[in-house]
Parts: sequence; C-alpha cells; structure tokens
Amino acid sequence: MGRYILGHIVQAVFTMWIVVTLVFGLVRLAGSPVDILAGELASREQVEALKQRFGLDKPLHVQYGMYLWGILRGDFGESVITREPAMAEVLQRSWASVQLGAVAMVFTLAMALPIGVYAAVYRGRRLDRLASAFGILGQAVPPFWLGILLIWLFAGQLRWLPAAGKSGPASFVMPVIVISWYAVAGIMRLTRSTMLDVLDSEYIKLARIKGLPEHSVIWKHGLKNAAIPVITYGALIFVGLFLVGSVVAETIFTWPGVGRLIILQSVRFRDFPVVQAAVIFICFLYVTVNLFVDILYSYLDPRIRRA
Amino acid sequence: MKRWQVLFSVAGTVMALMLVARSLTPAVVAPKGHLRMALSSLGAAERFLPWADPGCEPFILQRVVYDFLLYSDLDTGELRPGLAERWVAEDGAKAWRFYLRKGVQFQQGYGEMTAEDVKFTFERLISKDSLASWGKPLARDLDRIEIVNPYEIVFRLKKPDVTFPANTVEVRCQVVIVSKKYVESVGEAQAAEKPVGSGPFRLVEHRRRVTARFEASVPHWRKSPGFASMTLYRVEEPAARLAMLRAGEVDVAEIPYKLLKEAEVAGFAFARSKAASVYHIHLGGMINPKNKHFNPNIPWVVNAADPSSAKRALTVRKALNLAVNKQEIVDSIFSGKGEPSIFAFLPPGSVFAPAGLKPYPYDPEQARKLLAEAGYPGGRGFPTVTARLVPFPGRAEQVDVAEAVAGYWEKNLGLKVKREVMDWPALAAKLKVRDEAGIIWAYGTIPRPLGEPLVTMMSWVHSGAMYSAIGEIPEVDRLYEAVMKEVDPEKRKLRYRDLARYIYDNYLVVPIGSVDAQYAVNPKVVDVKKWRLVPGETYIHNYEFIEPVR
Repeated sequence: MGRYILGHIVQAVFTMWIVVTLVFGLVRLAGSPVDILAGELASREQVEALKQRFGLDKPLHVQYGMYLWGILRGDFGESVITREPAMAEVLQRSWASVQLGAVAMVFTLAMALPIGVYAAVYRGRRLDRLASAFGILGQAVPPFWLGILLIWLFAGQLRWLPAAGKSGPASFVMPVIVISWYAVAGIMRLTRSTMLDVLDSEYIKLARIKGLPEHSVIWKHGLKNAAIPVITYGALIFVGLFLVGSVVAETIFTWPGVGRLIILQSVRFRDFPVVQAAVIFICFLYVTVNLFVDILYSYLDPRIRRA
Repeated sequence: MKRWQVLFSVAGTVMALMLVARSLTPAVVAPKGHLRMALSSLGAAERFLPWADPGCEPFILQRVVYDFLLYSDLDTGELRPGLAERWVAEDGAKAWRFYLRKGVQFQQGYGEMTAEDVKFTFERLISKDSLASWGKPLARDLDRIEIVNPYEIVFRLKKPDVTFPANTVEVRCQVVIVSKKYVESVGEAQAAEKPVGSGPFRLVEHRRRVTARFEASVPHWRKSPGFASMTLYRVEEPAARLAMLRAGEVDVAEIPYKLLKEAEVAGFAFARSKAASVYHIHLGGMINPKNKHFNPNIPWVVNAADPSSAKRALTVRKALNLAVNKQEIVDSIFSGKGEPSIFAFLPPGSVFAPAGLKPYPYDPEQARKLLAEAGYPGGRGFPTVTARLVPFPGRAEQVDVAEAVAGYWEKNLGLKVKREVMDWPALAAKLKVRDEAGIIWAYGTIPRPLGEPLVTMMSWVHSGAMYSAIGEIPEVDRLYEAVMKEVDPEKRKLRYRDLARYIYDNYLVVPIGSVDAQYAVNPKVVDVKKWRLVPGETYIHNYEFIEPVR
C-alpha cells in the first residue's frame, strides 16, 4: 500500500512540474504586461526600465529558474497591477469559489445519484426516458446561455433571486444550477449505465434469491459496487466544477472567486504572477483530489492496489 | 397717508422683497437617499493613488474621492476651472502656470489643498515606480516644478507642449490631486486603500473587484452631491446589470447597445453622453518605405518607386469608403444611437473640423467603378485583406464593425477578407513596429477631451506616434506639427481644420460613426433630466451631479 501511494505521489509531483512549466511558457506566449503598463506614450527606455523591474529583461531560462526557485520557496511573485503577493490574491478569492464548488457538488450528487439509480431500476419506462432526455439536454445546453436565461427569468422577470454577486443563500441558487447542470447529466448517465451492469450481475441475483429487501439490494449492494467509476468521475467533476464553474458562472454572476480573477482581470492585464499562481493553485487541487481518489480506489477495490 | 397705511405698505414691500429674494436664491438642498450603480468595471487595481494604477479606467473610483485641476464643459467639452482657477502658457508653451483655488479642504481635517500637494502628486506621478500611463511621457518631458506661493505653481517643460493643461482635465483622468500631508503621515500603502481627498464623496467601504461604498462629503466647493451615499457594484456581465436594474437592486446600470431596446421596452430612462466613441477602420500598411514591414503591393499604399501608384491608392481608398453603408452600421450595431462620422478622431460638429463636410456617401456602384479603374475589376487581383477583430473592454462593438465592413467589401467589391480574432495587446505590439501591411481593424476612439483633440491624436497621428492610424505620411506629419506648435487656441483650431481636411480629402481612414454611451436609469429614483454626462466620454465623471427625485 505504501509503495502504491508513494508511486502516485511521485506521479503527482511530476504532473505539477509539467503544469508549472506549461503555464510559464503559455502566459509569456500571450504577450507581456509591459505592453499594457507602459501605455501608448512611453519611450523605449521607459519600456526597458519596466521590463527590468519585472525581471522580463532576463533570458527566458533565467526567468524560468527564478520562477521555479520562487515556487519552491512559496514565493509566487507580486501582482504587477496591485503589487500584492500573487498567491495571497488567489487564496483571498478561493474561499468564495470553494463554497460555490462545494454547494454545487452536493447539489449534483443529490440530484444525479437517485435519478441515475432509478433510471436503471426502471429501465425503459417513463422515468428512464425522462432522465435520458434530461441527460442529453444537460450536456447540450451551454452553461453561459443557461446563466443568461436564468438571470433574465428569475432576476429580471420574476425577481425571485439576486441577479449577481454573493450576498446570501439565495445568491447561490443560479450559479449552482449553471455549474451543476452539465455535471448532473454526466453523473446521472454514468450511474445509470454502471447500475445497469451491476443489476445484471450474479451476486445481485443471489441477493434477491436470498430474499433481501429490494431497497437493500439496490442501494447497499448495487450502488456500492457501481460507485467506483462514479467516484472517479465525481471527484474530477468536483475540481471541474471549481475550475470550469468558476470561470463561467463567476463571470456571468459576478461571483467574487478565482475564475473571475483569472479570466477577467489577470489575463486581460497580462498579470503573469497572478495567472501563474491561480493556475498552479487549481492544478494543485486537481492533482490532490486525483491522488485522494486513487487511494480511495485501492481501499474500495483491493484488486487495484494488488495490480 | 395715515400711519397704519404707511406701516401696511412698508410691511407689504418687505414681504414682496423677501419673496423675490427667496425665488432668486438657489435653494440649498441637503443630499438624500442612497444611489446604487452597476458598472462593467471599477478599475484595474482599484487603488486610490494615481501613480498606483495604469491607464484611465482605474480612475472610476479615484475621481469620486478626489478633485482634478481642470474639468470639462458639459456642452462643448472645453477646459474649465477646477482646483486650478486659471492657467496660462509661457515661453511658447514651454511653461505652464496654474493659479490654484483657495480654501479647498482635504477630508478628515488634512488641511487646505496647496501647491505643495500639486507638486507632490506630480512628482510621485513621474517617479520610477509610477504605473500612471501619462507619468512616463511626463517624466520625459517635464524639466522642473516651481512653487511660486501656496496658490501658484509653474511646470517647466523640456519642449513646448500645448496639450499640457488638457492632460490635467478630469476626462483625461491622469492627475487627481492627493494630500501630501495625509500620504506622508499614513504611508502609501494605507493611502492607496483608504484615501483622503478633497472630492465630493469619501470612501466608506471597499471590497476590491466587488463593490465600493461612499458617503457625500458636504458641503463641497464645486458641487455637493445629490445623494447622501452611493454604492458602485462591479458587474461584468451586461445581462446581469440589466436584470439588477429590473429587479430594483440598482438604480443605474451601464447598458451595451445590444441590450438597449430591451431596456427601453422595460421603461427605463437614459443618461446619454454624446459622441462617446468615434468608430473608424484603420487601413494598415501606409508606413515609411524604409520599414521592413512596408509592402508596396498593398493597393491602398503609395509606392514611391511607382509614380502612378499615388492615384491608384487614392482611388482604392475612395472605393473602400464608398462601399460601406455607415448609416446601416450605426442603426444595426449601435441601435441608431449615433450618426455617420467624417473623421477618425473628431465627432460630428466638432469646432476643430472644417465646416460643410459631409460623411462619404454609400455608393456601391461608384465604388465598384473606382475599383475597376484602379485595376481591380470585381476585386480580381486584389490581395486578400486581413480584418483583425479586436474586442476591447467596453467597446465589444469593434469586432462587429470590422465584421460588417468586411462584409460590405466582400459583397460590394468582390474582395476576399480573412477574419482573425486578436486581443488588443497582441495587435498593439504589432502596430508599434508597424507590422500591419494589408490588415484592417476597427477602433472606437474616445475623443476625450473634446476641447483638445491632440491629446487623443498624439498616440495615432504622426510618424513618431506609438501607433499609426493615418499612415506615416510626410504631409500629415507637417500639418500635425503645425497644430502642436500653435499656442493660440483660436489659431490652433484653424490648424486642426487643415489637418482634418487633408485626411478627409485623401480618404486615409474609413470613418464609420460617432456613437453615444448610455446608462439606463430608474426614473423613480434618479432625476435623469438633471444629470448630464460629459460629452465625448464613455465613463461617468460627475457622480455628484446625479440628483434624486425630490
């Protein structure tokens, strides 16, 4: 078990290094913050002075070395716009994103698991057909469009919910629906298909022959065995909700989280340190959750760690 | 006359005089109510020191708590007194003397605003760690600042600059005057978060990138605010801003053109800024032939080695202009809130434009003939044009305008136009080195301040400018320099007209339209008739002039 976990930790560290390197390269491909900070009337000398100030005058490999060394020391640099530590800017806003992601995850599981299980149990019947239609719709409707539609209906017309911002429980409703919409459909379809496989298996037939109550057969014996792929997908979806959700929903609903920080503000102003810190933070979450799922996997199915 | 009659007539006269006096004296009205506004941005860094923020947009918050040396006239956009009561050019505009207003107090007892504060602000603005965009050229051009007395200050420049005062006006939003005493006593870190200004509001609470709440600072020397307090919300999504207005969560919302009809149907009133953006298409590649990016094969470019190319290029530029239906673009993309324009940097009716000129007409038939005359019948042989689609925050319509023009050229002239989406910093990097042969892009100039177009032109209209919108053309340079040298404002107008006339006659750009900016307003809360936005500007600069319905 120890070797299994260690192997996965090494893999996680390697993945982080790849991401850190990719982020370093990609943000620099997009252009320089100096182009924006210098303005239209700066002289070439002033542009050079700005480059020097942000270390952008040094050769790329030197910048990369300084960047890696900084990360190892927990120093992600300062925002070129606000002059505050980049990671502090990200962490300051991450709580709002985590809250949104967590509520969305609970909502997603609460919706997707029962519907998926019942769709499998009542295969081919009206509930199953409805669930399939919902699944297709969920995966086909763009979240951005859905968000605008919800704002128009529930904030603009009915005035039931706040249109934007994070102001109380009511402000969670629309962002959660938008970022859960796709995930509910995905987990529901996955639960249905794995449950169908499980319900056809010999041990389920045996459980029924032994006279176990139907709810016990389905929820205890069936769902537990169908859960492995759902857990994997669900865990990745959770980070996905945090990542994709924070970008789309936070933009539409003016949610004060990391996604809005990255897309609308830091990328626009080529704020390298903040973009890098935010992507590394999200990547760290992703890798950690993956690692956790791998370990959980081996607990749920000992065949995996033996293999 | 009996005694009681005398007393009666005296009392009557006194009463009548009191009534007249009351009607002539402006009523002192206390601010009331709370104003809530949803804006697309509150700035880049949202810090409250002018040297701690780049560009103009950040001043959305700063202008609320501070004052400027000069302000714009709400009718003409010309410069008007602010913290400076008078300003005069000396030594052929190599020096500018400002006479400051007496008695203006900083908030929280930080004393009277004096020349020391102005000097301190300018010195920090030009310091090496300053992020202010004007700070860099100012550091290059400013020789020294001399304080004559607490109310008189002289800026000595290394070379003449007739635009110096225009850079201190509120719409240029570069220099708010900061209290030296306050910054030195609390330090810049705190001053950037908790400002003390002399403006019409004071900051109460600020959640960066979310909201900022202010309270009226009354009485204010210039204009006491109509509302007792105000909250600005940063809401990037336009549909959410409109929904907030509909739901009564805010009283004023910045509305893009695409949502204008919906807001009108919903019954909101509108505060409008005339000629807030002047859209035009840049024809790239008219650059110095010595530049490595110069391409003589671009049809609208003059090739010095080919004497016939000047006529051909002019004919092509005229054809490109006549093939575009500007009115239709204004009507469809900008909901008709504007009019076709004549120049790239001057809105229609500008006093700096020659009188009597009309927008180029829409005449596709003539355009086709001209193109054939230039050697490209039906667009045959015309190299593929690349349209750069460049969205700007607050000017997303730049993409639509470029798309529309590309469509007209394809339909009316048979040209092949390739579309490429590119963000502004990427395009700007190319434009700086003039890597622009054969490309076009749409740009919506904010012609601020209307009273001195050079301020906007200096980035675009000269071979030495950062970007070249008009082309690196010796005659344009000569006419531009003539404007720059002219200190007399009236004579400068004439020089402007010469420059504009040359650009117009030579079809050097494709002017599209001058369009208004608008803010949807809840008419039950805000008295929209009393609120006038600064013309030639998209942002709000005068929150203190927003009055509640009383």
